[in-house]
Amino acid sequence: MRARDLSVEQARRGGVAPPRAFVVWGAGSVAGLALLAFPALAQALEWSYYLSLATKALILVLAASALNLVLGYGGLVSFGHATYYGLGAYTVAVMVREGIRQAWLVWPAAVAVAALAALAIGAVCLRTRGLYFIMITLAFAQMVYYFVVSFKQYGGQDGLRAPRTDFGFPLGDAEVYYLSLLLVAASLFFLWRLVHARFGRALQAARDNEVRATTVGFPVYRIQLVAFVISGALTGLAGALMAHHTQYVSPAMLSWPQSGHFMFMVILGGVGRFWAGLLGAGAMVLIEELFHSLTVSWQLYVGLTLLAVVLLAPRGLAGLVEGRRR
Amino acid sequence: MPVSLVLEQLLNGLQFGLMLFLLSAGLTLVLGMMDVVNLAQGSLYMLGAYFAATLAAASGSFWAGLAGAVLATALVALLLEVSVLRRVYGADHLTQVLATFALILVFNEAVRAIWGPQALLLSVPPELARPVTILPGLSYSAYRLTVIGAGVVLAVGMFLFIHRTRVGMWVRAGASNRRMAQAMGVPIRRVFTGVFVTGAALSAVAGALLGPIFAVQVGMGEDVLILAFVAIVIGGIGSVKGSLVGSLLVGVVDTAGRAFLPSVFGLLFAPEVASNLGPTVASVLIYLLMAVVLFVRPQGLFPVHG
Amino acid sequence: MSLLQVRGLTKRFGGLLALWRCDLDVQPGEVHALIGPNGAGKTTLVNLVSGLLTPTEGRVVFRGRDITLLPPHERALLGIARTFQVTNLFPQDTVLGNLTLAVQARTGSSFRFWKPVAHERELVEAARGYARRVDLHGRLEAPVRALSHGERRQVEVGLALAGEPHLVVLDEPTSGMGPEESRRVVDLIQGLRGQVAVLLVEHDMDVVFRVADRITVLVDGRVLASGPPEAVREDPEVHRAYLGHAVDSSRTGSARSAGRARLSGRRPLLQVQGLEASYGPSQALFGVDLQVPEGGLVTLLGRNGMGKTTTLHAVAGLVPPKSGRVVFDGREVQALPPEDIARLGIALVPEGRQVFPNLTVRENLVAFASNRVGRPDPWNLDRVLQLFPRLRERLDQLGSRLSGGEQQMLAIGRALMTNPRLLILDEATEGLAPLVREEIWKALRLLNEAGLTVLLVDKYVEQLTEFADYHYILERGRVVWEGTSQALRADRDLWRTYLSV
Repeated sequence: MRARDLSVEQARRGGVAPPRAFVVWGAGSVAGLALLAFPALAQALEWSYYLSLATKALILVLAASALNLVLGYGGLVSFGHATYYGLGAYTVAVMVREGIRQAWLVWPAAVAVAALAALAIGAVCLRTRGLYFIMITLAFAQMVYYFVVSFKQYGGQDGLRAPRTDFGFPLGDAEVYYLSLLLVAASLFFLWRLVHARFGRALQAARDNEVRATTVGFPVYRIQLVAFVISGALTGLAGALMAHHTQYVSPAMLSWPQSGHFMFMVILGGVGRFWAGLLGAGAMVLIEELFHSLTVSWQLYVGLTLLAVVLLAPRGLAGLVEGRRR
Repeated sequence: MPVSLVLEQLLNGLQFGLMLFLLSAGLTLVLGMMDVVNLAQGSLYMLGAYFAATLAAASGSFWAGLAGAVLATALVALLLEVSVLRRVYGADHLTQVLATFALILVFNEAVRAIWGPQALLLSVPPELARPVTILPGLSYSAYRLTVIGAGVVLAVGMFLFIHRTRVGMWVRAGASNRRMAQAMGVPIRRVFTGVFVTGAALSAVAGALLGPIFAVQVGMGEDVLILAFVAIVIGGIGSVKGSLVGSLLVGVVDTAGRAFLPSVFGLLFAPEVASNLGPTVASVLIYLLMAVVLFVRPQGLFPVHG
Repeated sequence: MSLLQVRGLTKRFGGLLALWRCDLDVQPGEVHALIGPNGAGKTTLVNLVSGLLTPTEGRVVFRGRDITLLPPHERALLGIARTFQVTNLFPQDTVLGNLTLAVQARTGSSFRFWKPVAHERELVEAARGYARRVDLHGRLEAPVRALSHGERRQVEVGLALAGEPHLVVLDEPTSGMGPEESRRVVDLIQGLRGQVAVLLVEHDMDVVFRVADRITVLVDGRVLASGPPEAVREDPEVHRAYLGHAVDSSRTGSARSAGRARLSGRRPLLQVQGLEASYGPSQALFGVDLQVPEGGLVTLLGRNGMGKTTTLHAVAGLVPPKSGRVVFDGREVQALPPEDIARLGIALVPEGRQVFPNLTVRENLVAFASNRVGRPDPWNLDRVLQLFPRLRERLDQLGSRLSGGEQQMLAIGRALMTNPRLLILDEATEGLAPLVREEIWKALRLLNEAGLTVLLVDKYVEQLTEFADYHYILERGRVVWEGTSQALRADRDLWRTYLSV
């Protein structure tokens, strides 16, 4: 695993017992410094590909962590999360195409569009349960997909180029990396506070036993809807970041295989555990890179690996680590 | 709009709906009986098309290719059921969705590895490659008529099996109340395997028959799969009759919608709005339909549970 | 003014009428028990009060406020708490965690995203307090998964109390418990008296008569009687509801004579030894022993929730036993899947009939027909239709379209068509008119005399003693009495103790 993942593992294994807290903080700081220094290192070694890969991984960490809120902590199997990802990305591309390039306008708009979509879709879908919930989130995802694709002037099936927005200074690859790192770290911090606060506890209670939660007095529908919107907003943010990273948006970002891809990351990382997004996205990128470099049919082996994970290690990487600790 | 055009589109919709039924019948029974969501049904459809194309090219006969494809796909399905599916009985839907989704990836890539990324050619059998005049002014492809005919025959066959044989009664009983069926002596595991393999065989037929019309390529299963799910949700999970009605509905609405809505919108709106809105609404129509059904009658049109 | 007022409450599920014009009053601070035989509608009523269901007609008024359409979480905040028959906790959490959640739900908003709950001292302290009240302060950090069934019940009560309710609804709090644990629950309820009102649904009459201030009896969806315990106990209508007739009436028939003698020397076709079974953490059977001799007609008696259905399901293979043996025709079958047991010659007519709604009457009968034992004069469609002529008119109708009584006949016919060696019937005469009931019993008698072995669960004790050989009475998952029809008839006290109120 990469240096950063390793230190996280150590953090997990060490828990927060006082003598080890020092180790955790120490390792964390080293990792943090490594992350901050990475672009300089990459430039020196002419590792532009790896810089790009690291940025992509960070963005996927955000998307997966956002999905984990709803899927892992909320217990809601949303098969349509690519919608918010794609909408965040397309908002950026479309606004820039229409001439609005100021970052302080475009970024909030992207997040707002994704959040509003999550509000509308969630309000309807959360009235259903189980398999029907899965199907209806999928149905809405398809509707948005076809809706966006129908706009020929925004690329249709081919996608759209998305020049980076204007922050007042030019946004190079290193800047995008730092922006991603900043936003991901901030979001993870926000999510950490959220799941340990009242809201997170109530959300998990509703997941664990909805009938009990409602008879004890929790307004379950409202709690789940708010979680859905927060998740949608953060996923939209990830989409906007990806648009900036690749400078290109495509309908594939809205497609249901993309949703499945996100779900796999969460499962790989460990559904419902906090670091699922980090571990899952990181592992997924690693696995894909690994197989990609080995064979042309790399997706086949990725698929087989995922199948094995689902059948044999349903608690994901975080689950394996915790299992070993006990 | 000429009547012949409308009729032609309706026939196309009927044809598509019947083929969709071949996929959705298996899906609905598997879901109804064993509560298993199988996303890989579309992959079985794709395998049917690929096997048919290969065997037809090798043997020179479309029909031999079709027969061989059915057998080969059934075999794959049997192996699949024994190895993977058995492990997800009783698992929650998320696990089933992800496991069968992983299977889609595996199948797509395996097919790409074996047959290459280019689309395969599956030609219409030469004896059917001509138009037939059904009505004055309306000529229709003989092949498409044959597909409709095959669909009708298979649908009737399914019906007779499900509604007239004892095993068919067992299947229906199992879809409604599995434990009570067991208590009455139905060997539910074996029945289920049979249902799964039969569903796979039917999907293979659909894949082979639609191959000449829609193109045989990797990923062809996924679009059809979603429509099949929509069809069974509308029809009622566990009901074969429901899956037929749902499939026909989806087939006709989807085909006719795509064909006519742009023109209809062209009458009402400005051309550029219509050219965008038309196909969009046509694609979205099916999902809207499903969302409405889920709201108004969540158990579907023909629920199997009392 | 009553704390809880229910007026004219009616609930329909499609064609099924579950509750009809029910009235109920619960006074502040009282313990009010809700009892009634099987299928009476108690759970439906309780769900309507706590808000998990909405009524077809009628009103629910709580502390002067109409809450009929209020969603459950708002009712909780108004002061209605409940426990569930099957323990319903937050399974991933500890005792303290569960209680803290309940306190959180009651106090302030859950839309706080910043401060960790672990730092909210007031919440945690309050949760500790409730743990103490239910005697669990020694188990605060224990994950609820690791608790015994009784301890989980205590957590349930704790969750209810944490809502600072005015009314606590206890849904069968002693189900799945042995006598020792039940006593603890009784103490718990006694401790609540005066502080909160309790609406108690129970089958255990010991518990009911020890704690209840007033009792309401629900039968077939209607309120039959309501009043102080002694009045209910003496009410002949109540006994009729439980036994099918008044306790002390004597019919003109006589007990089936010399049941034992008739069957002496016959080997047991079915033997159940030390059977224990659980539904998750809730234990239903605590060691059941019974035998059904070949050719005999044996009944299983007892109030609801005592384990009769669980026993039958275990025999049929639908419930895997925790321990013990089920031996059929010399063969151990407790580990076999239900279809194999069915093929050995056991047929079940289940509680609630469970005909296949998407099959026609003819198909329900014909689909499973077989004659594996090679009977010379087997049951076939014609014979079944002779037994139940009413089905003949309905042959091509779907099972879901039949009336309750017709479904009952269909379920029995379906079982007969498999030509079983042992026929098991679980409340097979429920919902049938008295004449039809007599027909069925006459038919069973004839079948039995022709050689069919029968194991029967029903509540009409008097009539059963006229044609059954032997009886077992179940209480709390154990056999508490067994004997011949004569012995049963002779001891009417038994009926009051174990079969009625």
